[in-house]
Amino acid sequence: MDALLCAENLVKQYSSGKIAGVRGTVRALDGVSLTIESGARLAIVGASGSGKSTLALCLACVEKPDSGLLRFENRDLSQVPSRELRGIRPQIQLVFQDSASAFNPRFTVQQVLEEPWILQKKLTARERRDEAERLLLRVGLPATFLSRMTLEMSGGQRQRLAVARALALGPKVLILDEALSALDYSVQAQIANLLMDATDAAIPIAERPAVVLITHDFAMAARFANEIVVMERGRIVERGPTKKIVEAPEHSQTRELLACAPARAFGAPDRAAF
Amino acid sequence: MRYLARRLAHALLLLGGASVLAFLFTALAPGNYFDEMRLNPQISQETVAALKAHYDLDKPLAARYAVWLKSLAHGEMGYSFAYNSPVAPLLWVRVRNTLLLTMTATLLAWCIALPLGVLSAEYSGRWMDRLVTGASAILLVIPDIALALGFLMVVVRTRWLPAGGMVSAGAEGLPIAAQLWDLLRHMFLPVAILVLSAQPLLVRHVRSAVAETLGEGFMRAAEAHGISKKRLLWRYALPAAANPLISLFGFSIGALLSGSLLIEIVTSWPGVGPFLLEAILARDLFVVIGGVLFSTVFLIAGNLIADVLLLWADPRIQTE
Amino acid sequence: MEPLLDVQALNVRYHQQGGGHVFALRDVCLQIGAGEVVGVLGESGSGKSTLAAAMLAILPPNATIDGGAVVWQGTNLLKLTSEEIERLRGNRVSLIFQEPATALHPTMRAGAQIEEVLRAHSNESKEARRQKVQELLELIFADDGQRIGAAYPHQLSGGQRQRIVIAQAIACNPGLLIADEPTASLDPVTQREIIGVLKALRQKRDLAILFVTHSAELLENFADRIVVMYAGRIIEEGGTQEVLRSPKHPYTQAMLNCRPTLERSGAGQSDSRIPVIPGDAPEMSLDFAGCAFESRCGERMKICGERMPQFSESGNGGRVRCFKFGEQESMGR
Repeated sequence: MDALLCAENLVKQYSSGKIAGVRGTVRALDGVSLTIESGARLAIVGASGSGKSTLALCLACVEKPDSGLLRFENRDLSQVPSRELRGIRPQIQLVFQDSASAFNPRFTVQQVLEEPWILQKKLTARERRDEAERLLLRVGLPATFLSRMTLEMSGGQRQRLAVARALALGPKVLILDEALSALDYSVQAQIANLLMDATDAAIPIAERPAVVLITHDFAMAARFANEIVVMERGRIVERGPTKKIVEAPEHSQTRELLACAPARAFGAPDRAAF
Repeated sequence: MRYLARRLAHALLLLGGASVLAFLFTALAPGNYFDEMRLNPQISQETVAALKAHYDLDKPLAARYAVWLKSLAHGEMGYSFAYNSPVAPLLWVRVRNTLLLTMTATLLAWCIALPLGVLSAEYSGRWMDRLVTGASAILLVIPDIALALGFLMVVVRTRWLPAGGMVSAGAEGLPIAAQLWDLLRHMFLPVAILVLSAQPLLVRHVRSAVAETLGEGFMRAAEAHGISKKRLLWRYALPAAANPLISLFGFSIGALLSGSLLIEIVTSWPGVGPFLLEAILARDLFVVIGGVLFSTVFLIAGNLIADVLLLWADPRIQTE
Repeated sequence: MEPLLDVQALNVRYHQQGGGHVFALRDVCLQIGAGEVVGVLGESGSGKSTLAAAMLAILPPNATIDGGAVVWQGTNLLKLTSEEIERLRGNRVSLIFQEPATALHPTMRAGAQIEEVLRAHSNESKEARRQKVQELLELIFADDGQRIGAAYPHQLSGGQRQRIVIAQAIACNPGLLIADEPTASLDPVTQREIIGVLKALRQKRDLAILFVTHSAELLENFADRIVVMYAGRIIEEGGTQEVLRSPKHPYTQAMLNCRPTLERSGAGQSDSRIPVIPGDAPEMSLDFAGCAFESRCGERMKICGERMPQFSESGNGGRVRCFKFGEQESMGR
């Protein structure tokens, strides 16, 4: 597995308003370096304000970091001409927590899914419709949803639609920024399962996207990811394979977040070490 | 503070630009004040030429502009040919009268539009809302001048109010209270026309801004805490809807000023309006420029006031 | 003992834009005793938020209440005039919602917003109110109280905002606090803090709490009783430990089974999928002849599709609406 998306020493700060007359700046990212490999399942865990959302925005090329390097397939993205960048951006897709605001409220589900293909000028109308149907089924929504308006769907259905749209162009990297938070357990599970399906080891690496799950739910992160990165106040404080992080955490923030995550099913007997 | 200084600097720049444009357009318009004289066979060409030279009308534009700037520095704002006096004192008297009218109209217009808009939003869809919306639509369709003439006609027929002017003849001798009452009677007509013509725009915006706020989360949360309906409307909804309304307020100051110039002419109110019209027709160059500059100052001041109010009213706005 | 709040056979319907109705609550009966913490557990569409709002008659205009009563200390809240219920809200019974980001007025200082609630319900002088606000801020924020009280909502974090909302809710010392997913948009560390605040308040002020959520772990060391809702009905009820450790209703079992835990971390190799409840949440505009969960239930029987089960005892004072447990006549409670 080779490095697909590489971030080196990213720094980004925002100025915050005055509180009690003192103007402050917030260092959302304070020197973050991260490597995402093809087909990886990575989770970034942290509390609010840890900078994980800012990191997501920088990785997806939505925001430009103040300093630091971002490399995609070994090309320095700050050196790439803007026309080429337009071709690279769709390969890194971002799904947010609140998809409702990401959809044009006047579009039907079919229009939402077909939009990226229309913009990229691929496929005939018939092909688009078939592909849209296939995508819906892939995320577990019935084909009858094609004619529905996005506002008529539940939160979980909308998130699934957002994932479907993100997968429409076959991206190499899929980043989910708290996309599962505040959803019901069974709906979270469905979406997590479909992400696991999309990144199954049986799929050839060329067609397997790397999935980055950004969340504050450690249990979900541990269930889904092979590798976990823990952030605190704009820095990565710990990283490593899931098993190690869960069983032998080193940093205090990791331990604190682990303590807040459900350790076991209710009423399961305590075990010495799991 | 730095923000205000920057805005003032911008304002001055804007004023400078406006003065150049005003000068250019007026000076480039065909004809000048002395054309009438020229056509008069009794006055010799030499006299006309001498007068023109005296008033610098034969010099190039840039030089004339420079002369005007110098006169501005002296507080004179150029020279009126028709009145044979510096422009500034002439203008100042009329500016006072216009301000009296416009400020009163602005205040009254908002005092009426706010409750109407707020109540329309609260009772949206019911009879009160429909009445207000319907009346607004009718007022919107009627041009200001038609409204003015209509009112004038009623007043002339019924003699309830004086049909124009600012003070009645011989009013100076009366006691203060009577003078004030006389002034108010004269003001009623032009102010009423201005207020009515502004209502549709203001009420519509107040209504939509408040209606949008009524659906916000904090309204529901406050309702759950038992805050009374009345307080919810006036202390919660209206202040939260204030931002677009404050901008509209700044704009309305300028708009009411433009409207007032026309209404002054129709109702013979001795403000900047009739003065400006006269000067335009007579090509009294510096009076025209003075009038235009006054309007510009007013417009800029209105927007500046709105910006400052916005900063004060909304703590979320930062002056980066 | 007389319950503090007694919800009797509540039915609520919403009108949809194109005509048609959504049945949000069906025959809901619930009692809360003084100082008791009751958790309402359910997924989205279960009607739990409608229940919370209906208790204070704060439903949206397209909602109709089809019979039933909400009795607070002998008075049916659903029959009160708007002035009467205004006096009760925030005063004897409080309600807090999910989104702290939008629950506070954007241009009013935090402390002033707490004062507004006091002002609405008492005739005290301004100084007395200010004093009370200071006390509340100290109670909820420890030392930082003053500074936070003077701040505007956009200057505060999500957790701080939610604490202000809680301060508003308890300002007049209510007997019952209804909390509708108050921690859903907060991170787990802050969630724990907020639960801690509520626990402390419950102790100090003998406050009864109705906590509506879809996160079972929040209720684990907090609620005395849990009520599980599905498709507008209560389908299981019992002591917290009972319901969480040995859930009776197949839905409750399936739902709790979908929860990822650290112990089950796949760590990549196992690639086993997380258990889900098959199918989708039920369409609430349809009227079910039988059990609403029937189409998704792994243990369905023929009778499940024919009629709605009534409550049966499930041991330890709990009750469950499922044919697996037989039925008993008149579970009047």
